Amino acid sequence: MITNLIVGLSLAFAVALLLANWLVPTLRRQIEQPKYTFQEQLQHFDKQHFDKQRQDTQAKVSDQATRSDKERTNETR
Amino acid sequence: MSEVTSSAQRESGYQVDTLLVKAHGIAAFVTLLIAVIFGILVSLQFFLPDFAANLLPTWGRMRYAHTQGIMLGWLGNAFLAFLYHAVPILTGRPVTSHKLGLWLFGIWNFAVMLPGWVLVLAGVSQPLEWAEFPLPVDAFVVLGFVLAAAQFLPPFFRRGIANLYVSSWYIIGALIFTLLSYPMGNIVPEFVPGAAGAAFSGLWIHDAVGLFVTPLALAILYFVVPATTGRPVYSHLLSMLGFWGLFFLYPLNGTHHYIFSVIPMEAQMTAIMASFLLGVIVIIVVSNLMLSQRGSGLIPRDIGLRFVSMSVVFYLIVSIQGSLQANMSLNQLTHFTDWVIGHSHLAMLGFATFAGIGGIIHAWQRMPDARYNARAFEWAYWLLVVGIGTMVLDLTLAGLVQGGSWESGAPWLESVRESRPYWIVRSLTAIPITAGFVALFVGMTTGPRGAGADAVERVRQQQAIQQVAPELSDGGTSHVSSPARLLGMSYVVASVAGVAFFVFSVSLLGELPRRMLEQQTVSMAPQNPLPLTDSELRGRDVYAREGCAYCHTQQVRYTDADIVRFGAPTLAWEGRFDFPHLLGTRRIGPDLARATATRPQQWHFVHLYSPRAVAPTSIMPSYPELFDGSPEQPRQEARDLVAYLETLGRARELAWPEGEVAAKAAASDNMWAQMSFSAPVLNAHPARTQPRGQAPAFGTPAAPELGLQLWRDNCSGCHGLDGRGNGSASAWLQPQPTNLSVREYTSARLGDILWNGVHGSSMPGWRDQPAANLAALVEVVHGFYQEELTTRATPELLATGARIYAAHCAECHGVNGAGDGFAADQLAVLPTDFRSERPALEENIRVLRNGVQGTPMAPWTDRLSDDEIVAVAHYVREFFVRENSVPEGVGQ
Repeated sequence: MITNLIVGLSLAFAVALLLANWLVPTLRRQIEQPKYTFQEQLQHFDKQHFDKQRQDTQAKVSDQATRSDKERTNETR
Repeated sequence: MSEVTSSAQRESGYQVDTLLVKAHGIAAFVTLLIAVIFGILVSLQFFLPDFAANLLPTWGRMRYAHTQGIMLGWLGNAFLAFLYHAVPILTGRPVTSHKLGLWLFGIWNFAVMLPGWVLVLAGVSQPLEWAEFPLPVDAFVVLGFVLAAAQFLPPFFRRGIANLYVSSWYIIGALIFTLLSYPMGNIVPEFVPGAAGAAFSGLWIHDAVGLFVTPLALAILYFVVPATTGRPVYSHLLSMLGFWGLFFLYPLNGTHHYIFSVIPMEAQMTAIMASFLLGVIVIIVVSNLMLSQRGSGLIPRDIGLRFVSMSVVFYLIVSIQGSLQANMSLNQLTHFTDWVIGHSHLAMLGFATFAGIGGIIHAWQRMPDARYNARAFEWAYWLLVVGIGTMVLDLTLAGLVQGGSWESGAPWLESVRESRPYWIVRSLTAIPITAGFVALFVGMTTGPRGAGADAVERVRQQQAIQQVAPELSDGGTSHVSSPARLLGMSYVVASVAGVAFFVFSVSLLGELPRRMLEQQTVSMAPQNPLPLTDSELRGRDVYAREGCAYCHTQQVRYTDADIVRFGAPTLAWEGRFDFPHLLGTRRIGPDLARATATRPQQWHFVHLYSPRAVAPTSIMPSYPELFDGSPEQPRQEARDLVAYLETLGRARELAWPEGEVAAKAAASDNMWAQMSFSAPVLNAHPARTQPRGQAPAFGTPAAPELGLQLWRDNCSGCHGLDGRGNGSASAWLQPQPTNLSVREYTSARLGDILWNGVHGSSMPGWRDQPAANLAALVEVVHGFYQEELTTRATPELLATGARIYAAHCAECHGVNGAGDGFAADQLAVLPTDFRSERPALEENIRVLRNGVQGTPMAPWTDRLSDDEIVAVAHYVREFFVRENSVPEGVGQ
């Protein structure tokens, strides 16, 4: 009896969700929306993180370039 | 309800607390390595049972430390490390407090793991699977979960649940449901006895995996896959279907750990059905995750994704395996075997560990100041895939071999012997597994700082990244439509329903069985149940602290194989004094539910002190610390433990058979209880001694080489390799093992002894051996006897002997020397039957002069002169009736 109830409820829940998803486009859109929102958040995080990383790297490279330019200028003098 | 991540928050940046990611990440691998070392030591003792026994804590204690170390130390820290990375990104908000994080880190590692390990190794523990840390430590675990909830949940609440991504649901679910289930699984069984307590325990065994480990692992999978591929998951609908399916069905699985037990069949059937449905849900989850990875290849370039991808594969296998295991026919074969150990390793070291590693590497790659050694991570991946894959395959095969052996009715030690190669392979897999974990640690602590970001960048450049579909990217954030509102409401309803469902599962699979079992106990138990004495209770504590329940179950299952091997299935009332229960879920040694009156006390002492002295091929750990240097000098703990072993099944023995009549009537139409009552014998232990007679015909003996092998494996510990009664255990046993080289037996007598054992001595029955093996052993024993050259006794001497025998010996040994004198039945050890056993003259004289310690045979030197002793020694030899060496039928 209880096992039948559980099977029935589980199936009803799954079927209701799938039907709602199929029949109501706005709902489908809404259900799927979090994955896009999350993707945006990830992109922003990566952008923030990698941009910072890139800036750091570029800063290091330009530092080194400036330093070697100075050294070269000193050597020329 | 607040809106999702605002652009202002994005601009201000996601505040990931990298210090705490690092702290928990490093702690995770440190605890992992420690837990793995415990695991390796435990595994080595399967085939080297005395390995470093004097230096290490006992096997059971290390097993406790291993499982808790993996679950709480490794996975707990790994998940926390990941949460510190993921929650700010998922919510757009920082976690509650850095200071709170430091407290959480400190409590988790220095108030839970460290004291937990110290205490279980010192013998303070709880004999419950996945709940081995003692109650005081449990309090800190709960505190840890409360702090984790306080740390990670507020960002979700502040953000609001609109557009909440599936990983967020899993994180919220795990934190809330673990807080509910942990106290239930760790505390309730302490107050609910026997099988009823096991019903709650079973729930926790599965909830630990289903409500703590799996949700957090899945949160990682759903996070890392889109984060690495740059594409959203295939279907958020399927992911949510999976989420609610898992949270509804996982809590209903617990009782499948006790299929064929006394727990009501209704609860078992619910668990079996829920396990099957869960398999279906997992297929949906895995399909969704695999579709989300499309285009990444079978072996993704990104190492974090690669671990995650393999975790998905492991998840599919382990879940299907779990569903199948719950099926009654497969369960009958594989339960209690290494199949289940393989399954749990696949779950914890395969699925969850790979997810954890994937999550940590993913976070590590995104920390600018973290060291990153890509080459070490590559090595780690392959070493772990090979190591864990081989181990699981090996244990699965071992389980099938063990299950087959048990079902065939083969002697118990046969399954141990057959398992040995598999156990060796299992330990060998520790080499790649440990190397893999070390490589991971190296990967996280060596290499250039910030190199993880370069690795990510390289992979990104190599794979095309499909951008988020622009038409959907902002849908729902700018307006909330009516169906959307409805959906929001449904999430709230579903959340409430989730908690309600947990309560429902505990009621259905915990409370309801408890009531039914309580009712059974009341109706079937004897009116005056015999409680355990103080000594027996102390012995139970020793049994619990040494983890005996990890190798010996205390439940005869309702299966034919169990009934034949162990006797009547265990009834509910038999465990009414078991706080907490010790039913067990693994059998490396035999079940002990009917251990009472099977072995004498001395045998137990020797077996505990030096197991291989009495059972040369046993892998039982030795416990010399329970003795003062010898099994003849047991400490109180040893006496208590043996006293406790003697209680196992005692109450039912006392009730059988008269007490069963009333219980049987009370059981009425309870099919399972009737199955227990209709078992042919209450205690079917093959070693239990029986009265003389009733041995079947053994038939043709097995090959002589097998006979000698059997002798070495089973008999030499007591009787010695040459049968002289001088085996390693001989000095500790009373009566001492017989010197078989000075006794001539009829085959019928030897068959009788092998079949029935010798009551009152340590000589057990060997009824689990095939008849051909017993016949081969009879031949081996015949081979030990050395015919002596003695002068024949004169008629006068025999007449003297007859007179003395009639006066002093016949009352025990019988007028005709058949060992059936009128006093024989009153003796603890039956007198020798001289018709079927003829001691050498010198042996007879020795016995008459010295008596036989541990038997009623006293020295006769104070009543008989030397001449009289010689006369009677000659006389009793005359009773012997020689027969042809191979008996037609040894039954008398």
